Amino acid sequence: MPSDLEGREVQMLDSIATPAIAIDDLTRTFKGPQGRVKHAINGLSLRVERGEMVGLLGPNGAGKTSTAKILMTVLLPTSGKAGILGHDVVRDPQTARRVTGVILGGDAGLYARLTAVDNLLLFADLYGIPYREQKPRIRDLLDMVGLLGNERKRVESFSRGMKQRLHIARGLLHDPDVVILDEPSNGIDPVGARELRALIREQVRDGRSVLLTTHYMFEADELCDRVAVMRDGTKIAEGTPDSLKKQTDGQVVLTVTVSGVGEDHVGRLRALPGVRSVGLTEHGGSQTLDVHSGQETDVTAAVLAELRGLSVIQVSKREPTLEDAYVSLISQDRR
Amino acid sequence: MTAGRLDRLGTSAGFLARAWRYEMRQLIRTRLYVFLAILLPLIFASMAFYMFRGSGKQDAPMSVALSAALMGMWSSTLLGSGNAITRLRLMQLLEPLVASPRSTFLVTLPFAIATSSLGVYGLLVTLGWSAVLFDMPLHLEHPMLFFVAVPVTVVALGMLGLLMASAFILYPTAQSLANFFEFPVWMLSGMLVPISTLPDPVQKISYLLAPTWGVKALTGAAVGNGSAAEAIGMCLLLTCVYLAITLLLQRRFEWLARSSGTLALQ
Ligand SMILES: Nc1ncnc2c1ncn2[C@@H]1O[C@H](COP(=O)(O)OP(=O)(O)O)[C@@H](O)[C@H]1O
Ligand SMILES: [Mg+2]
Repeated sequence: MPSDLEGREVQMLDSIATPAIAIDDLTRTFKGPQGRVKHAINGLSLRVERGEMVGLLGPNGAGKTSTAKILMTVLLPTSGKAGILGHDVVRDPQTARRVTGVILGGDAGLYARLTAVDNLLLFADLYGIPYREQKPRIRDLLDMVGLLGNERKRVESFSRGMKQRLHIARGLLHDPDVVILDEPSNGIDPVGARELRALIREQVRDGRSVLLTTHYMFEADELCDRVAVMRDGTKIAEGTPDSLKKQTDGQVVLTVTVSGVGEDHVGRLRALPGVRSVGLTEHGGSQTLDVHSGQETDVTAAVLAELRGLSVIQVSKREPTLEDAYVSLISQDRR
Repeated sequence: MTAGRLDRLGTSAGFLARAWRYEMRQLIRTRLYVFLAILLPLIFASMAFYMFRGSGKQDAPMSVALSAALMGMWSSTLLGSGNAITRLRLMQLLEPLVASPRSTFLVTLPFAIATSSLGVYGLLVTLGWSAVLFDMPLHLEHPMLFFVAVPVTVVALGMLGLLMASAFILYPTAQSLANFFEFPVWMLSGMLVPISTLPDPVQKISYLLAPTWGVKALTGAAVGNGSAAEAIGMCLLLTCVYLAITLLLQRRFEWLARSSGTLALQ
């Protein structure tokens, strides 16, 4: 009797200690043009503890989707390990699949010609949800994602945001312990995106462990306990949103609206004394340069000297925002 | 059997039935498939009847019509399952389906059965047209055997189509491969010329193909030449063989597709 109890306790401790998602030194390469090897993920390690929501943040091409797909068991790692609740995605994909909710963003990924209910019923069968539970479960989910009333309409008539909410309902059908969301608010209007974030915060979260990829810092800040920032397949920062914001404490941002700036200019600006990082955003015709520096040095004159000969439209100075912290992180000198 | 296992079995069957129904609905709305399954056999039947009339050969009109129908069934099956997988990839559904805890086999099976079921319509249409246009008597020598032979042939063809279409899981560009198999299989399974006129090693390949036995089973039951029961048995046996190979192949192909990243739309 006591030994049995002990065994159970050890098991419980064990399951508490096993993280929801464990990624160790993960690498994934693709063959690029001319047979060159391209690293989509390069030595990534990351943990998502039970009940935690972690954001994987990075610009396009950082390797977020590749990481999500490896965890969803539709892509194999080139090297390294990844596990869901201790189930290795390479050695034991079937068990990993059973406990994982897969929510891939995008306009597609649903049977466009079928209704919302038919889409959910198909996947309810695939996830082995017993018949007597299917209809009530689907009703609950449709209600939760706000699609009740539209459930008999064909998915092809849905807006981008409605499709995304159907993706969420489908991912939660089997009440998974771990949920992976790949860029859920991509391509959704600001109002729809705000509603979607509320949905993710309250419903998706609901006692589950979540990995969410995004390229919006404010989204990660609003939703996540912890954020890992990726660039070119490598993790360049990790911590709570607040701790990442602190990285820009004591900085000022000089914003220059200009045209004709090239990579060589950016390189020279980065080399100026006092400059911490430089971000360049292209608009239709004009460009915005964000030059981060310490409060103690005024770099305005030096920056404008480097831009001599170009048409400078506007110059202003401001306190760094949350987005600046992120931009500053991902645009630091590439090592 | 535990309740969990029963639920899994039930929902697997449920998935097959549901996905088959959806796919049929979708296929029937697609002009290309209606053409392949219904008009194409009619065109073949017409050609065959005129050729046979000209040459004065003594084949039963019924076997001419059935061969034509099977050519159509094979085309729609082969192109159908391959197309279905390609379509899933285009709709970006291949990844969520593979990410579900069921085998790729269960996911792809309803497409194969749906496309070859469409061949049944083609069969009925061919027989109907042949009766109307070419005065073919609609007489079945062994009606019971015929009604067994039809579903057995459909399933056998569907499984062969699925086996070949499995390559589509791995290779997004396998379409040309499927087109390549359309004509040789007509030839090898005695739909165009009698198998006995083929060179010896080629005949051996013929006997590994379900359509060969499908033609035999259907004509045997309808016209009474040769043993339909034996051909039905061969169809069943081959179905099991295809099934086993498909299961092995798909497991391997899924792994390779995860490795190459080709489940995604590129
Ligand atoms: N199937 C693929 N074949 C070739 N290259 C790929 C493939 N998938 C992703 N990549 C490359 O890997 C890098 C990371 O892509 P991805 O993981 O989609 O990044 P993110 O989701 O952060 O935008 C990109 O440079 C992309 O071009
Ligand atoms: Mg992405």
